[in-house]
Amino acid sequence: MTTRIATGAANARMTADLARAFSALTRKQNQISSGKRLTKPSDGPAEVATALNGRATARRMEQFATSASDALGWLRVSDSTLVSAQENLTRARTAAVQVVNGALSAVDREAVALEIDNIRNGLVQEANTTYQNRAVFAGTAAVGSAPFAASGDYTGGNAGAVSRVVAEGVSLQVNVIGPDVFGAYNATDPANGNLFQVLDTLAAAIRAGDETGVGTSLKSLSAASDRMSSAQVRIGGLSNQVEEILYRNETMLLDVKERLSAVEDTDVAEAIIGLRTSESAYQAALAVTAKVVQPSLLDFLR
Amino acid sequence: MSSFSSLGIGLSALLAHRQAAETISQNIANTNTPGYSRRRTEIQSEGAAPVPALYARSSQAGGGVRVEGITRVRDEFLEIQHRDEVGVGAGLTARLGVLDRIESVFPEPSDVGIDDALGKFFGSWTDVMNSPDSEAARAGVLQQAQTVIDRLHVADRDLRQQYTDATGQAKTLVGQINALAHQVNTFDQAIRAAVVAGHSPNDLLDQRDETVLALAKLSGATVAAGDYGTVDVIVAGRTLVHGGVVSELQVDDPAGPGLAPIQISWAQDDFPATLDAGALSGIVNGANVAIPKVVAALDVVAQQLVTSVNALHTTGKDLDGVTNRRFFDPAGVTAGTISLSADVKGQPRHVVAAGTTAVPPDPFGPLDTSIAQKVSDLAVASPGASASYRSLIVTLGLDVRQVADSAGVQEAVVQRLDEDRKAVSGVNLDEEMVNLVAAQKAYSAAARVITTIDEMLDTLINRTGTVGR
Repeated sequence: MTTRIATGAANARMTADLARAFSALTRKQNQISSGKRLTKPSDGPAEVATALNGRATARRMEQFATSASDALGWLRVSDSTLVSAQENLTRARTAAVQVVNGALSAVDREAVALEIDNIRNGLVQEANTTYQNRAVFAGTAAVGSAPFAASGDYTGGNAGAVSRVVAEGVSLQVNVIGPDVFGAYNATDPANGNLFQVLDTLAAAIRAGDETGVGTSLKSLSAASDRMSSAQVRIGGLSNQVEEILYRNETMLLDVKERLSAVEDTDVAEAIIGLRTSESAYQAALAVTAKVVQPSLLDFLR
Repeated sequence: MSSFSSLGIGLSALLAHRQAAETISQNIANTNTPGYSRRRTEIQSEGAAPVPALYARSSQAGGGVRVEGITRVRDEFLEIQHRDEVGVGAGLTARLGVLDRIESVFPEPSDVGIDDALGKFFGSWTDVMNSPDSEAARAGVLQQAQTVIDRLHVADRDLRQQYTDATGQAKTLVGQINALAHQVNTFDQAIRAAVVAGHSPNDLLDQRDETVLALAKLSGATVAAGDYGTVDVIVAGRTLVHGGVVSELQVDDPAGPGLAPIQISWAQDDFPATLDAGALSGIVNGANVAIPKVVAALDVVAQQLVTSVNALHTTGKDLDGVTNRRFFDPAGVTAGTISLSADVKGQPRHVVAAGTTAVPPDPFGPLDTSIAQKVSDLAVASPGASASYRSLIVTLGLDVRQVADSAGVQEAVVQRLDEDRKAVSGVNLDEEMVNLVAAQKAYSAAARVITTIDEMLDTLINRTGTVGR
């Protein structure tokens, strides 16, 4: 069968083909100039879903990183406070040991007792240390009230947990509660009370020259130091954990962003090759059209 | 056999080939006219009289050539197929247009979409967790919530606006369909008169068929042949044009507020007309199905957001220890009505982050953040607002893709059929030129025949009987 092709139809066909080639070319150009492969849901429904999930994951991981940094700050402040408190405790113990070892005059004992008092007051201040306005040993108590009163009682704090979500589903308690570090306040029996009460008892015993009392207090002091050490161990462990999570988080975030970019962004190399292909297709179409449209029988009839 | 009959044959050939040349000129003149079907001069040899007369003998050579008529060259079957597919294609393209506009409301993935706003809103609760004492962090939560609300409102309003636009578009299309139906009817009247009078109204037929094609494109009309070259135009199972009568379509006034379905009906008896092809059906289906579907899905997002956040928010206490604060206004559970509750609007201190228990002692301090943590975890809750929104986006993307693919395929089908029918009815200039040359040669030859016969007659008349002069 001979195929008849109407002149008008051939022209329309060529115009349509040119338009198609040109639109393919423009699409490629757009992808390269915008850098984005996905601009609307129908560009790739599955890819858009992946992209939205990836964006959400990246966003949450960035939040986790912020929370983890904050947690780390909190833990470091707690830790450095306890390191300094331990040093002060050692100073107090050294001073008290002098009293046990040698016969000191009442004046000397008073001097030692005064130093113990100073150390004790300093420790109360350290127990009220803040991080970004919040007392680190006060639980979830309101800002502004110091957790430990001058008496050493834990009146301004509570047992609330300060938590930081540092990874999906990982919520870490970053605070240690005041009484867990410094011991529980005992109103009726100060000698068996918290660190501050023990120091008070120690100072009183030194003033009284009660060597047995000093010895008992020194034992209590050791117990307080142990308690503090175990809190430090816990904080140190948490710090390591958070640092590790922070590092892993960073690696994963890079990974997520890389995958996101693979889905969302134009693969420039591929797009440029595509652009070249479209370009040559368009040029070929133009060249062929120019050749085919021109001749007709009219050129050859005389 | 008459001495002059050869002159008659020559004359018939001259006339026939002049007619052929005229037809060819007409074809060439209309190469680019849309809807023009090429014409062919139907010529036939004039036979000798089959029954010889009493004193005459039949000429064995015949009586020359005769123009039977000028016919349109077209394949009705291809025309019908093309018309049907054009209707289907126009329907898909119109529907794709509606979906494209819906899609433009959701620029995802991007930093200005609803997904981004939801993510940032849930993320802002992490800031409250990190600094529960800071009013600024809580103000940030309110700010992000307002962004979510604004974007939901804008999307809802845009979708409803598109529904209104689609209604207007349907009205315009119905107006055009009615006007075209009247045009077809007018052409048919003229065609009937011409055919009854024995003419061949080719140009009227071409124009009528072009109008019917436009009608099929808008309404998915099908055509049945009527008498005397006229046609019956059928839409949605009833005749739009039949026997000189046009039944008009109309767009019913919406049955209720909001997104009540657009309904097309017959003007004469309000009987509903359900179109299944053509641009009008695409618009109506798009507006009646696609827009309400997306609006409802968006409402689900808003409703889930309000319910899930409020469920947590009311169980905690704010910075001042006050309980039972609502975050979103529980009355607004659609994308168009969602809003912050009066409890928290403009009052960051009233944003709840801390947990509480009804029975004292309350183990949660004022700076507790257990509620904030739960709210921020809603970002990954499923079912949840973010998850629902993403499924909306994927469903919409798939819908658009599917219709776009179908429309693309249909476009190729239509183009193919258009080429096929133009292959039959379109003008090919080369062919016309060849035919023109053939007509010209035949004309010259016929003229030469007449000259030759003339010379022969000259011999007979002037040179005969001159013997011995």
